[in-house]
Amino acid sequence: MKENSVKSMVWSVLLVLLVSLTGCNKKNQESVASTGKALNLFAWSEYVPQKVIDGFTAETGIKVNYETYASNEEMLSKLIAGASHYDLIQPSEYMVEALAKAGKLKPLDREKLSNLQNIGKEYLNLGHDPEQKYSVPWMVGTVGIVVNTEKVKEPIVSFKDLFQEKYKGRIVVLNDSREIVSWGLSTLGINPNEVTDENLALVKPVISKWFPLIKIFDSDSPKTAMLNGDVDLGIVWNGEGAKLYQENKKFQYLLPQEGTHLFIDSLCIPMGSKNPEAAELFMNYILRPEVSKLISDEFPYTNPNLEARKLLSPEQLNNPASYPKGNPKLGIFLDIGKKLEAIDQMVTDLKSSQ
Amino acid sequence: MNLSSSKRHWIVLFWGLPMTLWGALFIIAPMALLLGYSFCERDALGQVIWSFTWENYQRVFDPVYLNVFIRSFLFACITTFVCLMVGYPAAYFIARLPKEVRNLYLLLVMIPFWTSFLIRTYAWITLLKSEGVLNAILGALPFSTSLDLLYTPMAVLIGLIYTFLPFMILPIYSCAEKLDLSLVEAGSDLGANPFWNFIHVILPLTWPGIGAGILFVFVPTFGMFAVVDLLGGSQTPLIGNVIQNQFLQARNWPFGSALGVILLVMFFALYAMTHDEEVDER
Amino acid sequence: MNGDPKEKYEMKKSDPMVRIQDLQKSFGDFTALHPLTLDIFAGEFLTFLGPSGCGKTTLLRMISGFEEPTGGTIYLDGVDVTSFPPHRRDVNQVFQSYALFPHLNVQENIEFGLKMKKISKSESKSRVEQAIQLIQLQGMERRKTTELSGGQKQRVAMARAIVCRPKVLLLDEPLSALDAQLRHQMQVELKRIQSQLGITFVFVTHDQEEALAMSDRILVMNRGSVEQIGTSFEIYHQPATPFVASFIGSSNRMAVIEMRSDEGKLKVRVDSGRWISLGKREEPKSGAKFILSVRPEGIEVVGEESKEESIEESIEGRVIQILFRGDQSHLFVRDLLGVEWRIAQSARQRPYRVGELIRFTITPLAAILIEERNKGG
Repeated sequence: MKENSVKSMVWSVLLVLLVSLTGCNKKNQESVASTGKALNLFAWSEYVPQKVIDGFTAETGIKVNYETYASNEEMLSKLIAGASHYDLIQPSEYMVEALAKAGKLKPLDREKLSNLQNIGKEYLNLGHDPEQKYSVPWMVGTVGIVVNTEKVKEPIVSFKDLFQEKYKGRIVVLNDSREIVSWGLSTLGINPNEVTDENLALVKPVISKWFPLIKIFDSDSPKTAMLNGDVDLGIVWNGEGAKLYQENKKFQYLLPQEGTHLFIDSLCIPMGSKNPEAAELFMNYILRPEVSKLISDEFPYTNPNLEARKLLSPEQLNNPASYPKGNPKLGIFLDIGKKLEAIDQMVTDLKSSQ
Repeated sequence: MNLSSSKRHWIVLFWGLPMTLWGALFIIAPMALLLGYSFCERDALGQVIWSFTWENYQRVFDPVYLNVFIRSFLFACITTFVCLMVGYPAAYFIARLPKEVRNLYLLLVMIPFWTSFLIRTYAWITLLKSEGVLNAILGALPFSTSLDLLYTPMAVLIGLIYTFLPFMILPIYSCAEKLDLSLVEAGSDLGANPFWNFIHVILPLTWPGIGAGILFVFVPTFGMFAVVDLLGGSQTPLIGNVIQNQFLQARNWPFGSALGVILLVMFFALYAMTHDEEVDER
Repeated sequence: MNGDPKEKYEMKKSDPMVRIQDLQKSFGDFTALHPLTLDIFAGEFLTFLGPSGCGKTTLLRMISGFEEPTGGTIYLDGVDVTSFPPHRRDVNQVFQSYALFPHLNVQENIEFGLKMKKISKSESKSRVEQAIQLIQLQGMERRKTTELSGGQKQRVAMARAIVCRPKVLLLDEPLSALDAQLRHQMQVELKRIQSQLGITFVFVTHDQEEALAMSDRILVMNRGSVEQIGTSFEIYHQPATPFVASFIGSSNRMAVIEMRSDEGKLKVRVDSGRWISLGKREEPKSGAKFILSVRPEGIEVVGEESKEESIEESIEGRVIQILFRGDQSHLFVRDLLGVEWRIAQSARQRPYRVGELIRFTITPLAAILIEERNKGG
């Protein structure tokens, strides 16, 4: 009996171990109550301040269920797998375009979005949503270079400066195949949205020289490796760059001369929404300057809401990562559909053949 | 006799039904879906279009992915080998301890699993990073060296071995614990020195545990992606990362499914191999 | 048996196969074996007999090398093997549980030792064939050991040990797991095998009947020390200690409280107050305490009719129970003083009934005086 119980304990623990391991990637799977009055928000993790949600609920009485994802594609896969209970999603610009093209988004009722006028003109009617029919900008940002100026004394102003042999093993970059390829295209002077086989063939020798120099590929928290001192240079989201700057002024953020990605994270209403009115209420709510400021306080990306910017502290406005000086070359990503596959294969190849 | 056997048939059906449903719902259905997807195409958004194509399987044999397969195989082999080399003596040692101490040691093997896998992996980052615990200790030594381990393939291996070692120890333990010591004595009585006694007696008798351990370590290691991301800095992808990418970056579910199916087929083959030998031993 | 066993070992006294000198073993505070010195002679069948926990298995395991002695020396054929691990000792053991390898078939089990000793293929083959013939398991070579019956396993275990041609074969209660009939059969078989091979056998058992039947010599052990060593005959008829008398066979035992020598004839008074005459023999040294032990066969029922000269020597009692044992019966008789006697009655005699009054006498030569040793633990 005793023997048996020990044995069965061992096996049951094994089983639990296996199950717990396979489940390791699923986080924040809160069940969503589908009551009529609730707003089901499906957004990036760590991108919507609790204060904003609480304020909205207090004012309208509408409960908000906040479910999170870690990448545009994760959100997309849930959406096309048939998840239909979301009222509000938070895609980046190229994903807005892709979803709109596929008829997955509800057109917005502009009359209910009176606060849209607070958004700067340069962030509206762009290529991914030319008539601003489907999306409301949430936060915008850039991908840029962050330099630990205590360790790296030479000035760095471009991707070309960064990817030098002497910085081998001291670089972290976003683990995002399209981003990496777009940097290569930019250094060649090619529009990053022109992903053709010819251009990929041109860019491959360029970035293949970069891969051996890179120590870490990380999209989730590239700042960690910088803070830990494992690397001295990085290509990161500007929000991460801003946080590094807040942490220590030695981390300088700059936009590369070749030009870089301007991403526009937006709110959209998926086709299956059962509560589009609440969704529009929420959109208009976050477009208020004082609400938008709350977002900036917690997530120091670039706030496209010009009225909200007026409420920010000088310190916030002077953070070069949030509000870069000068007149850099910026461009949004357009949807490239199946070309993503070619990019992914090329990057996998380059990573493998190091 | 006839009546009772037909009655028994119904009883079996009654008690077997939940298990059958569970199996159909959570094992057969996902696998069938995976298999189905692997022959499909997809649209620009990544939605699966029901059709039939071999294209996804052809792509698996593209050198890019074969390369990754080989690397994954290598990593899984090394991990399994090290786990076996470390886990076997550990399991055997624990099985030979007095009962009370034995349960304590078993507990020590299992305790790490009371916290999340991710947290434990982050703990390894803290240990291995260049300004981390390991280098602090090394720096304090008289010959003061430092190791740049984090974000290297070595760190990935350390993480994999750490994660899967208990999966090797536990099945071997449960086998070694049942090992009849008089058989070991008989071996040595018949002139086998400790080495040959191990090869000819202990090893064959604990083989079922080793087989299970190998399967338990090799299979999940092969498909692992989180450790590569966290400890390896995503530098060199394993097949798990490639599959993950198909769903989370490349929007190519059918290709991801095809890779998954290939993995499944490999694991079935591995299982059949270890299982066959087990049958032979009996 | 093969001639007079005593004579057999006297002849070989010159060259002990195993010499054990001051061997002792303790586990922490517990002494499993008090210092023991013993010679085991080539070709003899020696049995360690005693109740469980008496140290006999520990002694055996020290000879095979599985236990390390706390002190003392073991010589095997003149070589000091005390520090040798089991695999370097030229002895083989038949385990109580047989310890057959479940992953090997019958032939592979038997071959195992030869393979380890790197015996040549052809030699090994002929030895295995011989052994299989000897243990009569022809045709079973390919069987899995798990498919064998208890008796067959026992034979395989024997064969596996003897193909190695050990100098000494150690048998640890090898028959205890078999049923009575099979056990008797195997006893005969073991003797046959031993006389055929001439290997020295050291046999451990707690079954006195088995020991008496098979052994040339028996070492009776109790609580880690030797009570007596001798032939079966000596052990049975001349027990050296009260323990041996009580452990081997059955006996009537009485404490002696007084002794008197009368014209060379010795008489003793036992604890019930009765005087018993022991015939012509010397009075043992005084000062020691003695026990009188009489085997049931040493008591003769004289019948109520024989009221002759021995009437004062005879004892009267009433039969209270009868144990029928086939070749003889044991009568349990209560005498007038209330003492119970166990009396053997041969099958030829008239059967008595419970409740009957009978008379019996003690055959003086069958009564033995055993000195009570006062030693602890």
